Amino acid sequence: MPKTPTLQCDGLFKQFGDVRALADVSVRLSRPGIVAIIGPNGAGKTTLLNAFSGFVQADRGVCRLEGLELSGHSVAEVARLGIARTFQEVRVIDRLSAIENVMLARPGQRGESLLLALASLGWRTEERVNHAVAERALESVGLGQESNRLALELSYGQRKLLSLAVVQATEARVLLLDEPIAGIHPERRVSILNLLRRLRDDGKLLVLVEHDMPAVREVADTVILMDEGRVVAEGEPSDILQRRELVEAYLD
Amino acid sequence: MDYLLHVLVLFFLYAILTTSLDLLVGHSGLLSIAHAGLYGIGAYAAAIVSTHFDISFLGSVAIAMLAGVLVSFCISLPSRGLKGDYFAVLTFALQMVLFHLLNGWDRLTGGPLGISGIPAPAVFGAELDTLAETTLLFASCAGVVFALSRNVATSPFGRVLHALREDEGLTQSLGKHTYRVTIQVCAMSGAFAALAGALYSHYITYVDPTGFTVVESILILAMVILGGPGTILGPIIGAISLVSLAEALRFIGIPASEAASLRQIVYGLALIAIVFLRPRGLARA
Repeated sequence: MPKTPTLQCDGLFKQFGDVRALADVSVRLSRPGIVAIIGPNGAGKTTLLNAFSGFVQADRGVCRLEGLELSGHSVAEVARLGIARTFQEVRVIDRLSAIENVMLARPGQRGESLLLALASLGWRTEERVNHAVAERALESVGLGQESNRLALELSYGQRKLLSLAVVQATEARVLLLDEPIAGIHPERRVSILNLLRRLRDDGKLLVLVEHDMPAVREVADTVILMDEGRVVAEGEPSDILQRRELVEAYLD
Repeated sequence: MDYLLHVLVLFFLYAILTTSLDLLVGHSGLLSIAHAGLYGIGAYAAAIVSTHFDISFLGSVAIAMLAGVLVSFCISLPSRGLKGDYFAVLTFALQMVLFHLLNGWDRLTGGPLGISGIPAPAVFGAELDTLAETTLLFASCAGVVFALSRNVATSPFGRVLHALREDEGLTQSLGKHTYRVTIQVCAMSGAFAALAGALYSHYITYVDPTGFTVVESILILAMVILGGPGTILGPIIGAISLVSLAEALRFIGIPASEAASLRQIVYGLALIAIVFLRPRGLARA
């Protein structure tokens, strides 16, 4: 029997008014791996991430995580099943510090129970562990010095890095990253690409939507090219990005 | 001396009300205008059970808090997807409903005449017969409410609330139980508001609906905004400031008929000044 893919969708359709965002999309992705979804604006890349993370309910078709059907699950339920995501417009909690943003993301916190919070009991040790984990996650994206600054005081690039530290801290097996590289300072780029590789080597499935083709070429194991809501081509980056007819038609 | 103690009692009473309202307004970003209604539910629940059923002070306070939990639980149920202005409108409507219930359900609440003959507070059979003892009771209750609210605000539970007030979608995408947390914080806030009501009933030994109108809701809200929503001490500073202001206005010799209106005007001016001078409240730089 073939191995169950980590993340898959079959025959996904989604219509927004007159716009067909997804038109019969089927993909099968397995971990560990880094998959880059590329294609022109409006190709349906972000809608696909939204469908996987529960932000969009498809009109037709199903998404599955390790064989489990995801439709009908709320965003929070999907997250608890093991899918974390970042957003293209970079969302963090402005009025929490960088480290609080990361600590918020830790799963299964006892201190999130009202009774234990009221009694101020039974969560301090866990909180110290989460603090240490969060510090390491911030260091991994080069924000070790900024941990006590409010997120709203960080630059755009730093906020993007913070959101990467946040998804790491969720311990999700699947990370959906919407443009993690674009807009990152060139000096940080190499270390972020290394971080993505390290996460893959830890056994995770990373799905990136990315416009930065050199980065895709460097880091992705698989490339999925989308246009007008359909998957146009799928394969290794060296293959897809060499094919002139594809590059000229969709990526220039 | 008695007068000063009475003012102290008012400080503690309003400190409970503002601290509990701030759990919603400041920490959770839920603008509630139903707080006086919940305060009234507590006051009337205590008044009814202690005059009709001869229940002890502690029992009546416990029942009042339970009533507060139940009513705010119902208020919080539609909070899913009802953010910002819509939550404010919903609670405004509920405030109206609650007031008219207190004012109109004559057989249970005595209607506009209210309920009198509520026994004074008594702890384990010993009646608190001096004002100093009563003040101590109010101070202890305010202390407990303050400590519990601070525990919650500084816990991981509070961190989820703080995330929720800014970005519900992001908080959900981190797997947080946003709906459950909202319902729980509403219930907690309602319990404390009702506690204030029960204490008030037993202290004054008489309740009527005029103390629980939308104007009272807005006064409590004004105290929170004045002091600084979402800060630990701000709501208490706000309560002390506006209670002091109200008492100060008594001494400048204005006829009672005009004092009430003047008080509203001064509150309004104070709020406008704060919005311009310290837009995030007195407690915040």
